[in-house]
Amino acid sequence: MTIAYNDDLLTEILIWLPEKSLIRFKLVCKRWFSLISSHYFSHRHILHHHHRHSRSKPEPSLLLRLSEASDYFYLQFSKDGGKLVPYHFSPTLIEPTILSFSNGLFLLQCRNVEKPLEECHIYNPITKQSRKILLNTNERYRCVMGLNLAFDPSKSPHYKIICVRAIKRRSSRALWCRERLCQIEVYESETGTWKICGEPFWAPTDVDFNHGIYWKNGIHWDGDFFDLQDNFVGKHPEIVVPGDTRTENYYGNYVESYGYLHYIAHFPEKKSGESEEDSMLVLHEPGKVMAYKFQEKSGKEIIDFREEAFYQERCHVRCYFFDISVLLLLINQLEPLTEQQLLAINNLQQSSQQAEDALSQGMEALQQSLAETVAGSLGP
Amino acid sequence: MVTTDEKGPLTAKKKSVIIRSCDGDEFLVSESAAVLSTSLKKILEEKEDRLIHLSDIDNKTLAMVIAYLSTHADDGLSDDLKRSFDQEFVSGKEFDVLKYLVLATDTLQVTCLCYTVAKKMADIMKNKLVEWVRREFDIQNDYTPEAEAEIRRLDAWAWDDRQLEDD
Repeated sequence: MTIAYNDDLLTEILIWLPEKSLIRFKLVCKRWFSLISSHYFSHRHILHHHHRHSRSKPEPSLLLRLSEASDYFYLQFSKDGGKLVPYHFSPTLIEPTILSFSNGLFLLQCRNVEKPLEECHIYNPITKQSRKILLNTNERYRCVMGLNLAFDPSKSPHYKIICVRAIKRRSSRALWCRERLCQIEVYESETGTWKICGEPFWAPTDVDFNHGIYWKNGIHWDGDFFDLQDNFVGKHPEIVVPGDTRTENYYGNYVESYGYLHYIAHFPEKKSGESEEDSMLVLHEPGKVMAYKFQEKSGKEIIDFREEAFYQERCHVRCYFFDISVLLLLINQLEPLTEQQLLAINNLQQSSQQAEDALSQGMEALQQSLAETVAGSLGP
Repeated sequence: MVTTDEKGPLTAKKKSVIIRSCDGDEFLVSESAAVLSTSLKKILEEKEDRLIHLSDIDNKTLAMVIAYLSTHADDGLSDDLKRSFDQEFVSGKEFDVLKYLVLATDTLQVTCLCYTVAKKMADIMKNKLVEWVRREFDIQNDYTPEAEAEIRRLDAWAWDDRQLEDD
């Protein structure tokens, strides 16, 4: 009598393992492979860890892409530095691009140049399971300006997709050159339907409505946000970045980390700041990834891939340096669940949800956090 | 005060049970402790036999399980004390010992102990090499080297051998 061939008992043990170990242990033998890959196991694992993650922080993971056309790399952290390993998407997805990410789930677009964007995919990077979601057909607002994902497993097992659409430019009037009339549509996984949300609004043509950050029940783009609770588009307070921004170029973007929204102004030659103590900011610089510890006010190089073959190939195209998009993500094991499992999760979460009144603070908190960030970015 | 029971004479005897391990050792266990095991409870409901023979649990493992059952049957102990007993119970135990324990909890159907032991086992396993797992669980690798390389390649992101242990 052994444990190795007793699936029930084995499940009881393996259910406690983190995702990474499970993926490695698929290699133990074929029997373990099919057990760990089974739907039954992965659903039990989700339920189990949903409960536990509410108390402990999951291991943060990082996926990098060096340029529009390149592959994705996973950054392995350890005491003796970092290492980049290729990340392979599910083979059923053709040339996937990550449009948005939110607490461990990805929103992907699979390349299809001939047609306008008609669908996107929700993707779980751990189980490599995906679900295709057809976009709404909107006769008036035909162009898809951006797709964003909103998902917070600690609040709800459902996710939302925020699609920004615009009217096709029909006239050459000056206004149409600078601004476009946009409309937001929201998909809710709970009902599986798209809804038109909020009023149409004018937005400058150069605003990037992809890569929005989900924070405090809103999606935040550079300068603008969409409130998912009350369905309105608003503007962020202006951020004054310290330093001489007229003569020095910098790249700004938002990052959400443990409940705070940060604005990171990255001067290629200097370090930038985030206000939280005891946290680490992971930055990409041309050819390397840096970890910056705020408390110690010191930067540490995690990985330098300037010598790597894949980097060399692209060195001659300078703009790729700045195309590197760093995706901060927490890898959880999550995927669309059945009704019964959703119920089970809801029951687990009811107690924790009572404590969550953070949303009521709404946009005041945003303002404050931004102010703190600006104050905090005065570091060296 | 003994509650009156219709069956009368059996009442006194019902208070304890003798459990015999596969290597012949006998343990006297209170019935309140024994019934925490679903299997033992079923046996006791079906038969009036007060001697239960377990053919696949050795005396060392059985002694541990009984210590666990007795502690958890003790109404005088608070839940907090029982929880810290559980922690103590598995800490420092060899993986080999835990394997026998988890099998015993499966046979005897002691869910809460199975939970504690399985968690401890996973804790030991999580940073181990695949080879270590195969050795400990006595599993033959049934992959071809090519298949193995392909699985590793597809999930390369999860592999960081620098952090894995083999002992």
